[in-house]
Amino acid sequence: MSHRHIESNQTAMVSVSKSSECGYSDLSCTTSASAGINRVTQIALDRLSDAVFWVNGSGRIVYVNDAACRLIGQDSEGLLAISIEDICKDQDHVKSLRPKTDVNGMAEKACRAEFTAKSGQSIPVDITSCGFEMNGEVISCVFARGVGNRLGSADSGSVDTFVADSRDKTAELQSPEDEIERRVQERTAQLTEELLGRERIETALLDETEKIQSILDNAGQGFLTFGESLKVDVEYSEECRKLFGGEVWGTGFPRLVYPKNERNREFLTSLLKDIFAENDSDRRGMFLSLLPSEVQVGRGFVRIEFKLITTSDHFRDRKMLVVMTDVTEQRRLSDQVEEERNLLKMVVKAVTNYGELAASVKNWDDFCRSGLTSMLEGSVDPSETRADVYRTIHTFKGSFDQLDMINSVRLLHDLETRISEQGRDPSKTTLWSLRYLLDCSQLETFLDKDMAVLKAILGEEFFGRSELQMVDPAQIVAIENEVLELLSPAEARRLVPRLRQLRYRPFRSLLESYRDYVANLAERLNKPVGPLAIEGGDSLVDSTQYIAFTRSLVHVFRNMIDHGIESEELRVSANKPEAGAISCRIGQSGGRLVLEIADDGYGINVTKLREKALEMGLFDSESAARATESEIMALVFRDRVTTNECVSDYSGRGIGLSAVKRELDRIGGTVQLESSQGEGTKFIFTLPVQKPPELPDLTVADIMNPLLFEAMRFMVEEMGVTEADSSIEKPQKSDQMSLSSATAMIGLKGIFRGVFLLSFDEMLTRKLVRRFSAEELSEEEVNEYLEDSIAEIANIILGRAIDAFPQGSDLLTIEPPATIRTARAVVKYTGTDIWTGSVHTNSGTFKVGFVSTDRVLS
Amino acid sequence: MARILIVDDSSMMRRNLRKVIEDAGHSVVAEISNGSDACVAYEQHQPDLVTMDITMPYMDGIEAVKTIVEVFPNARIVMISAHGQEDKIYKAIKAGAKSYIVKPIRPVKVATVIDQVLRNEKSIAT
Repeated sequence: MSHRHIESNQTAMVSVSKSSECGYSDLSCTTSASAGINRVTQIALDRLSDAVFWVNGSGRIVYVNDAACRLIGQDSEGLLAISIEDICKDQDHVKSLRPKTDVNGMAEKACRAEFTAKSGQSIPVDITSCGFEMNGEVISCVFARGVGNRLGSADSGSVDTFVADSRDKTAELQSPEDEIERRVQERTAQLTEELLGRERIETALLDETEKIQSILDNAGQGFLTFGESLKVDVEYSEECRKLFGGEVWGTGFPRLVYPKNERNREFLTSLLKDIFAENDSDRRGMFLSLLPSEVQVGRGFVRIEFKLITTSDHFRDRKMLVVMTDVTEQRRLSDQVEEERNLLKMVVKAVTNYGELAASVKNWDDFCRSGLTSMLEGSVDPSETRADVYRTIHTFKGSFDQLDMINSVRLLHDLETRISEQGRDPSKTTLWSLRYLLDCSQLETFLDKDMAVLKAILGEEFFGRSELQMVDPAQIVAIENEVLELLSPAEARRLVPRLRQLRYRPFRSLLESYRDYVANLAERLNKPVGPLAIEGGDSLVDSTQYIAFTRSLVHVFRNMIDHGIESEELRVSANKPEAGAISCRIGQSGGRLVLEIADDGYGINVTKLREKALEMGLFDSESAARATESEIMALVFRDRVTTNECVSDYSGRGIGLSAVKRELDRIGGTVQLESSQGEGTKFIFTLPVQKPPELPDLTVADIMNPLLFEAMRFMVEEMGVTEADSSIEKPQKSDQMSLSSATAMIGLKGIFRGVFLLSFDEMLTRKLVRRFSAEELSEEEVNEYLEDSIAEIANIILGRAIDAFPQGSDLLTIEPPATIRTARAVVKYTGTDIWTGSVHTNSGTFKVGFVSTDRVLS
Repeated sequence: MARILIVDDSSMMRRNLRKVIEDAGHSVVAEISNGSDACVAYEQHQPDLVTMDITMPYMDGIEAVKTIVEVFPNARIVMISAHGQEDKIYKAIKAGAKSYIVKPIRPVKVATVIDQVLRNEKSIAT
């Protein structure tokens, strides 16, 4: 029973003071109450700062606690031998302190009284008394607290103190109370001394500390330390407050950097603990290398460096110094560039692998709409279904990853992770959990972000067609340029030819869509026409050149079906095959492309056309009579010329073929018509061919000669330098370039990257500036304009040199020039070669240099 | 010259490691593609050093380290890991791995770590 009593002491003591039905009524009491008091209870009572006296009916003291002994200045034996009258002289009080015969008549009482100590000194006390029954005897329990007692006055609830104290000391049950007190006093004295000592040292150090603190506060980096407890020490720099948005001391470092991510926090905690505990320096080093180097704090990113420092010789005094730098802005910028690069890659992939993209998107939609449902509905074993779904998601992730659709991949990846995590949770293995997870994930929105980007760049209609990709070729050119500018040369070399291939297609592909058109129109006009035959045309052409022309050919086909091909009856009666034939044949002749489009219908009625021309006043009667057949036939390409009497929905308005002619003229092609009555008509288009230019592989060596040449040309043309008086030093590779008086530098981006340098000596510089200026310049003005002038000159020379290459300006982008005054400076780049060449003229010397900053080119 | 056991599920990685290890003057006693076979192979060959991939089918590298170290407490195992696997490396080192190398594999790094691990063990042994 004893232990439980102590545990519930608070209630027990409260009941002592509130009612006679107290918790101690079952204490066995033989000769004296104290003998019957359980030892634990006694120690507990002894810890009480109030003096406790138990008084029996005859006024004898039957139990006292230690505080009572201290108060009266007499040991317990002495006190147990006297009665309450001996220490309380006031009879009225004594009467009230004695127990009544009936315990029910003993309500709790409180009063002020005076006790007499053994020394005779009078002690004013506040008294509380109450009664309880023990072994059939009514006992009065008197609590006395010295008035003005420091502890007493500060301690409003002695019972609370008692409880707290007794709990604290339960572990020290066997220690004599005096001993504890002595030790406490000793220790207090020690601590006071230490504190005083420390205070002196601290005062001495305060100035130094403040200085250091101010340096750290202004360093723009967060400095903090922590020891083995991993709790951040009180001293840290101002930046920490900014980084973490408040005071950080006392917080565990792992919690500070990973407030939400429990897994990382646990990892960091055990890693740090190991680092503090590890004695082997190799292993410690290895653990240190595993510490995170960057963490996300709120929305920001913080780079962290850790340093284990020893503050004294004591092993235990090691501290971890943490230096933190806010790298949010850096991260944001590099993320942005990365994001743009990724987008670009995705766009290129979409354009070059449209079929794949369309198929993957469709598969995904199908999966979201029906595939997943049937997978879940047909489920026999939930874990197998989970595995199936997981595999499918994984496959989709792979497909979209191939297409560089990073946002979709991210979402799929997260979902994959959640599915597999759920699979490991024994409480969530049901099919219902899986279904719920998938429902909540909104799979149908997974591709939205990437698709929105693609649509924004490539246009809505890009996704409209299932086979033929519809993208404005001008957009491809724009993308090409961006690829050259943003991506590394190696990537650009890989992607640009693929983009170009989109523009260079077999010529026949430009006619493919007419197969459907011819069949559909023939059916609508109820004309018997066989399938469109297309022959040849496999050689690649720049489709952007011909697309407008081939689109206009719709008029040719329409005319042929509407007017050329006869009705079935007429054809049969004319002994022709039932179905009319329209065919295209693509060939080459004399470096030109020849496209023949023929039908086997009526042919052109030249006589009727001649009449029409007369009627329309296109010819006078004389010239109309003289005109050759082909001259007359050429009239069909003029506006409003038609032999047809009725204008149908599809043709006969006489404007169609003129549109064809216009497109033909635009690309420099010609047309010839062959027709014989009753046998059909043949259009023969002759088109110029522009071969797909090879992607020139510009190298640094290739550009050096034109640079020198253009520089020389500039000198001759603008400076009046004569070639006879000049000499060009051949360009050569070197590991450095010594600069002359003034140097302009221009960065180049594109299929290779580098810096172009143009360095002039002082004499030439001044001449150049004067020459370049429209008016006379003073010496000061020369100095003032010098930098602008040579920057401009360098720009001109480089621009011309690049233009000297086919598509040079498509392949290389020039950055804004910078100018420096360079008295005897030397340019050296580690790891790359510098190409240099120089030109000596009678006006001075200049040097041309090129530093490749691109390792891909060697 | 040390006798080295390569454990990695990627044949490409095994080939690269073999080249780097042999170029550094060591010999490869066997190439193993999963954790459980690695334990058997260790017992059979008792190599001077093991390069151990972390992520492998059947039994991952950490489990393999535990199993090997349980029987051969002095086994010298170097973990081969990808970026961002710090927590796994930590577990492996706690389990008894001696060091680690983060991919991509660079000859100098591999040679240095192998030498370091071999030398440390010797200095402890003497």
